[in-house]
Amino acid sequence: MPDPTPDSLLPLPTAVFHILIALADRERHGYSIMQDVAARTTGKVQLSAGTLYSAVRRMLEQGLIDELAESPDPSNTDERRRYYRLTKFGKRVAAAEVERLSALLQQARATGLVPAVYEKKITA
Amino acid sequence: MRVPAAFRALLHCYPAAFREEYGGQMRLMFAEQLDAARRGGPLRTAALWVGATFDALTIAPKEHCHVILQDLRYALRLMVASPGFTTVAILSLALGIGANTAIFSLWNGVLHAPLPVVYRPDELVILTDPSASGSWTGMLDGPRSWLTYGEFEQLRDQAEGFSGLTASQSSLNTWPVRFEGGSLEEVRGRLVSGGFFQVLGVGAWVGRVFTTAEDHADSPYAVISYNYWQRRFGGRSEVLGKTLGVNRALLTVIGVAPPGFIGETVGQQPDVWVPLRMQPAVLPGRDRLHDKPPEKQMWLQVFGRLKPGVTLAQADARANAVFQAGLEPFYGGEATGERRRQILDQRLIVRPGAQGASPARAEFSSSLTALLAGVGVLLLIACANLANLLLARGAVRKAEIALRLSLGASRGRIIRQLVTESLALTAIGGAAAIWVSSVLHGVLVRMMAEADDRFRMSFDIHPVVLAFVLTVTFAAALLVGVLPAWQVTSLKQESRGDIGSRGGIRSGRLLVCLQLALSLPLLVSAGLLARTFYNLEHADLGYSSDRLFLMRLDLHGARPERADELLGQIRRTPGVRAASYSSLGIFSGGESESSITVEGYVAKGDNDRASALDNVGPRYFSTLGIPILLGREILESDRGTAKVCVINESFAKRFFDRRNPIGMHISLGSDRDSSYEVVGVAKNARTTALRGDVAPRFFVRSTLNTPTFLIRPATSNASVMASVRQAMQSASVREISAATMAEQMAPLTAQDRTTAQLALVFGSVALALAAIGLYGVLSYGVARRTGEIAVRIALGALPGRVVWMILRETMGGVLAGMVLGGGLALAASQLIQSRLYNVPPQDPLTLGLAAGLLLLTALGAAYLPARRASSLDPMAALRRE
Repeated sequence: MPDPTPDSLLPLPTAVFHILIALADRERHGYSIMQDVAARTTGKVQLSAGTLYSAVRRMLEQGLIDELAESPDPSNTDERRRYYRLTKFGKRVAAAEVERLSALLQQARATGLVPAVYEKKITA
Repeated sequence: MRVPAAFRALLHCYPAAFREEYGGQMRLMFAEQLDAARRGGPLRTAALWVGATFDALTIAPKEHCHVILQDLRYALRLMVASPGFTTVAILSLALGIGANTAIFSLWNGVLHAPLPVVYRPDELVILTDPSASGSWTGMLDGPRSWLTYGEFEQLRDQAEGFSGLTASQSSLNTWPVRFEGGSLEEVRGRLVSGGFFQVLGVGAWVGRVFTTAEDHADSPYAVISYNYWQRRFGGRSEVLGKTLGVNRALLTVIGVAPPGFIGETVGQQPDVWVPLRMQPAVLPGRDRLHDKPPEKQMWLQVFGRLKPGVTLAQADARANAVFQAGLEPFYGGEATGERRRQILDQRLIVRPGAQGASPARAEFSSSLTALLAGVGVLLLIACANLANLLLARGAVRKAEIALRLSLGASRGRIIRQLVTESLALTAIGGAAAIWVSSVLHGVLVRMMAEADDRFRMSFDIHPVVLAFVLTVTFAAALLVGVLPAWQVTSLKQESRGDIGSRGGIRSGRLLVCLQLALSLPLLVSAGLLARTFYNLEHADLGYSSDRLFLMRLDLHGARPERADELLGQIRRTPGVRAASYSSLGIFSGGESESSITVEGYVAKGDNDRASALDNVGPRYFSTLGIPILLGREILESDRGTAKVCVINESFAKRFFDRRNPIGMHISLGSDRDSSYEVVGVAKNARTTALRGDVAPRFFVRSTLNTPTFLIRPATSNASVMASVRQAMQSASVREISAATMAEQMAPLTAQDRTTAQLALVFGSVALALAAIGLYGVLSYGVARRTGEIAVRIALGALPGRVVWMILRETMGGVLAGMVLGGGLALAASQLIQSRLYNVPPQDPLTLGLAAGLLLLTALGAAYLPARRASSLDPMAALRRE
């Protein structure tokens, strides 16, 4: 099977995109990803264990993320905890998704679908 | 942090592989989430649990699908990688399952399926004998096979418990017809009562169908079948209102029956239905709608639809009450004493009618059941062979499987994958089997139609058939996949480097032993059926079947002496040595019987007052070459007032015992006026059936509407036949059929030939599969023991001893298989006993030949690998080891 191109994976499922964002600044373990997503969305998106690890399984297979061989956090003593990080391919896919979404937003602005006040808020 | 047991239980909804990979992290994460949620209050805790349960219900199934798809992709890649194995596997499954499906579909259609298209067939009952086809004229006692038109009318009008009753002609006729006065063509037609479509609950596809009104007035109408409408009229609606000339009737087409509707008889597909009231015009010659005491014309099948809540027993009682009440007034003062009591003892047997009538059911039942058992066994053998192939392949893949096991893959995971592989194989095989079965079904129906030219059945994927295919495919997948999967994963950790060796060989040998055991009954049955066919082909008819032509002519409406005039013309045709005619012809499928009174004979019971009969022309016996044992045969001079008859040996033995029959008298029914004087006794000859004893028969002369001329040419030149046909054409006589004796007899043995051929094919395939299986297992065994054998040879073992050693090790399994197979063969021969002719089911010759053939094949298959082992170069082999 040929390797997938970033575009072939778009649009990304919500959970996958959130996980990519959560892993953008540093490696994280599952619970940390869940907490980060919850914090960034002010609790609106709460990833459950099933949703999270099903997405992780798929992202590992697609090469969007990697599992770290060792824990980067010396204070972590629990062997069950595994850390994940973004791959280069994962970054490209995330960038492609961002591009897709901003193109969509521009189209919405051009047609006047997005209200002016909302537009100002975003540009501010 | 403790993880609640409930969450651990929920995790079991996920596939094992997923659980192994992520279960620990999920438990940890859930424990942390739960901890946080508890601090937020009971509502948040409850929400977390709801979320986890929802995941188990939605995400876990997706994960299962993912694993299955992964296994399937892997299985497909493996299939593509070994095209030889894949082709053999799919082909044998497609043939095995396809043959099973085709025969099951026929078996189900003929023996078990309800009438197609009919509304609620379970409410239908049949008041006559579902397997009877034909008619009877005379007096009867005991259970009734058919009813008369008068009896049907009485039941229809008076019997309670039925929401409707319908009658139909029990035999399907071929009628010569003209559409819109066009040229003559043939249709398959059936006379039915007006309520036929109403009682069966079937409406018209186009136009209208008959109603009960058609029973009360002459209604020159016809309804045609959907198939015939498509075939003959291209499905155009202009067919309505067209006229259809059948004999003296001119009928108008009023409607088309719905697709798939075949009426009340399974295995027959009429083109045209015509109201019973039209019988005198459609089937001229005899008024079958009215009976004159004491004779009844019984020719109708009668179906009824039960009213809600009425049981079969109640319907039987009510129908018999009406039926029997009608007997007394009909017979009036006919007969006395015991005989009268017997005549009045006639009764109906009301049976469930959902499966309709079917003369084919009785005819093909035993063959179809035996064939179904045969193909079932064949499929088992094919599965055993595939399992062997998979076992061998498992051995080839041992390194891969050992690696996966040592990398921590669970045994369940690997079994699941191996079973998925065999499921994928069998699924493709099953899909191909549907195509194979539709082709095979057509072939089988054509073969059955050779034996019964009215037999028609279309192949459709009936839900029961589909369920059968799915079950067989799934069972095959399990049979084929589970054992090898179990085998290749069952070894202990330390021996994983050597997976599929000893255990594999042991299972392989067991499978081969089973294959041999299953092949023997197929071979024995094939042998018995082949001998039956040979015996039937060479049966002694009592006259020569060489150089005999048969030609049936239509003399409806002709002068009584017309048949003799034509006979004279045929005899004068150059090249004709002898000729005569008869009403039944020879092996025409028809039979004629009459109740009789024999001078000086006291009837002993119910079945002792009837005999078979034939109306024959002058010099019938000398034309055929049947010796006259006593007296003389019927001659040209026996026309007019002197009524004479010739009887056969069986008749003489049964009714005259040691008395001299010549000069004695036989009367038809109890009518003393129609008395015939016996002038001769002829040697027994077979003219209606090949099997069974030759029935008592007497031969008289009378006027015939459709005589069959029996013509003996001086040479075997077919041109004689052509000139006779030419002569009949120029005499403006319509020919109904013409055939040589060989053509005439082919249908009689067609079913036996077909069954024997199929059994031989099954037997050969089984034998070939068993040989391949044995060869495969031994080759693999020899390859594995290369080292041991090389050491033996290096230590001085002679090649002969090595061959003998391998053969000796093999023969144990072969003999065990043959002993088991012998038992199965004896059981199987009981199953086909009813089909055998002049050969006992435990025929030692057939059994011995089959066993010998099997043994030889097994030895042959074992010898090749043994030979290869004995010619090993010990040094090279040991170096390789």
